[in-house]
Amino acid sequence: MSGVLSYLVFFLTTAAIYSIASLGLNLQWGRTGLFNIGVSGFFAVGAYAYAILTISPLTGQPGLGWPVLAGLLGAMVAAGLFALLVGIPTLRLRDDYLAIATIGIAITVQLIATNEPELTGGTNGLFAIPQPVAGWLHGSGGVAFLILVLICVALVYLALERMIHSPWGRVLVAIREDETAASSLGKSAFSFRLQSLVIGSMAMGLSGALYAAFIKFISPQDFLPIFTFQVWAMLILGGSGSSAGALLGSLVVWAIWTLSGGLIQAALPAKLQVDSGAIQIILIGLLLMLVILFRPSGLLGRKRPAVHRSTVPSKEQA
Amino acid sequence: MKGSRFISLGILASLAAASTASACTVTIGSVMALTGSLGALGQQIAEGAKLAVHDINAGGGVNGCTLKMVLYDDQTQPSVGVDAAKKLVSVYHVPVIVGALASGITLPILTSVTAPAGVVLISPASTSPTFTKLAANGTTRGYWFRTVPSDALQGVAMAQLAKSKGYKRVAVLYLNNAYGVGLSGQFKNAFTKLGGTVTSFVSYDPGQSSYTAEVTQAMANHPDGLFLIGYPGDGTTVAREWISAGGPQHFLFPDGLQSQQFVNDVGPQYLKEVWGTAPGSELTPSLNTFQQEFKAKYGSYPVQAYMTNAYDAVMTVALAMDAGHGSSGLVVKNNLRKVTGLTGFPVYAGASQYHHALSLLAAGKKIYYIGAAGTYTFNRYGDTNAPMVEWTVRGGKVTNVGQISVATILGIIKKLQ
Repeated sequence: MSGVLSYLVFFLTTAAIYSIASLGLNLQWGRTGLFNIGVSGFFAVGAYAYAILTISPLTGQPGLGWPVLAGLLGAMVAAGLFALLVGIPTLRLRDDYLAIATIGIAITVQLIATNEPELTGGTNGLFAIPQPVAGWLHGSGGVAFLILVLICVALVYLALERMIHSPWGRVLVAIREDETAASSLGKSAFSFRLQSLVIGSMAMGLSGALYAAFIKFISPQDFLPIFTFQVWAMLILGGSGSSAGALLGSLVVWAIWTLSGGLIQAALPAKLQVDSGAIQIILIGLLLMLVILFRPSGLLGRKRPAVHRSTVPSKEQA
Repeated sequence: MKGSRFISLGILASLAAASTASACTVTIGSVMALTGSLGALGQQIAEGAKLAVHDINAGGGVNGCTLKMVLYDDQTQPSVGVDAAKKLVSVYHVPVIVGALASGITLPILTSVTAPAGVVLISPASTSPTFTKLAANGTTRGYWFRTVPSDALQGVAMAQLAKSKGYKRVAVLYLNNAYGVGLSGQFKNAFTKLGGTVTSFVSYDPGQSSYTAEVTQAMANHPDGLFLIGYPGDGTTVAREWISAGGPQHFLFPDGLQSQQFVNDVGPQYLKEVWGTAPGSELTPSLNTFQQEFKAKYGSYPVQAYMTNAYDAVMTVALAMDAGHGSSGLVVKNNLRKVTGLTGFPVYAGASQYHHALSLLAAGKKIYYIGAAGTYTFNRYGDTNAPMVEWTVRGGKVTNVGQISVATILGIIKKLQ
């Protein structure tokens, strides 16, 4: 397979794995208004669950040696259970307060991964993580794994779209737009918010599991808050509230993030090569800002902004 | 003296003229942290690697071709580093990648990109013991090397040094990453077996504004001194808090803190008794060449760890390509050991020495490269042994005062087992 094509397969695999987390965040933030900035924590739980369930104990690491499919399902269950556990105490918080609680949770997960070497390999990480469909379509350079990831994306996309367009999904939007009104109609906002958090986190867990399987090595360094920022950038840029937007955003943001490096390499003289990193970061920031400036609701977002402008002046009048 | 300098300049000029005539190019890749938490370190290390590329081209290139290094930033982020490595391998078809720095980034590049593709990955700074495990279970397929010794060696060397300086009770404060955990564990094990006591064993996380809690915990049980593992920055904060809390001003520092900047920031008046270790030879002609060339090119002397290791990584790769008359990953993998080790004709750093090496290779001679950071003896896992330098702070300046040979360290390891 030609080099560029082989890189493209690799690039698409990474972007698709990210897009699953982005789809999960779309349910939480885009549809329900849950300000979850602990995405990296749920992603990490999925990744570690998959690794611990599937790694062979023969490698001398904490592993159970389960089949990969059980690992993928187990990762989703683990992330879901974890979301349930943290959701019950934290979901009574709203907006900024929920954000503070979730970022704390993400950092807690990362610290546990760093400090429990018996369970997670600690800072040395976990290696020899099995990959599903490894060896299928031999010599295709990872096309089989890409197909598997794309199937996962499709399944998550269809499942979430079905939920979003069901009566259940409309309650989520009602809660997002006006929680008091939704509650007055007899809908338990807490229960729906919790369901949204758990289901969205399961998608993030699946994303983490596929990442671990793809890279075959994980360590706490993979789960720093920058990951949460990337997933948020993908959702906001693609269009918060739209599943298709989450998919497109993942592709665009990951392209901006990685391809800009090559662009700068080609454009800069060798003398300035060492500064290319800083220039790339500036370029990433600039591109993200331009998109937000010219498409404030994202590439595929709803025309109407999430917060009604009309409610703001009415408060001023009062 | 003056005359010889003119002659060598003349040689260099003619070499440069010769190298520009070559039409072909050999491209290698490099992935290093140029931004993010290791960015400040990485930019300097990258300059070390680039200096080697310059010297190689001035000395005649690789198999008569111009050597080119494509450098990518990993942003100190594994997913970005992996993507950069994949790009280098797939799009640029590089046979070798020099990097990465943090073990947490080098490991995923190794497992998901370079080892499956048969591309040599040679890191100047990743010291985690996990690499040795991966090599032992076959994951690396022999395509992994590092020009920096695993933490195991330095931990033993430091234990030996501490004991010889009369320390009996040592507190250990270590940075909570692969480097800190690895080195502190090796030290604790060796120092205890040598009859010493580790009075406290405390980790600290990077980027905190204060380390009072950790320092207080480490000061318990009356230690004679402190073994502080980390990098300048957070390390400075910890050392200052230790001093202001009244801890004994007897310090043991590893390679990560062998930095004049660190000494200046903490205050030389508090660092009267310091013993340090770092991989590398005390004084090879190569180190001198490297320092002078670096000064000439960038205006200041190199002061940071791993820059010499990066320079040597590129040099050994180029020599391996020359020795194997090719530039594939397989050629580099099979010839790296043939141009290093301890037997044959020694060659040193610098353009004229590289040119000398080419003529020796052309004459069918076995050569071995003595790098700016010392000699390299790659074992079957791609690990190298290196002697350790003993350093101290004298008159406020970081000064090398002695050397612990590989044989001595291996002897101690054997005795402790």
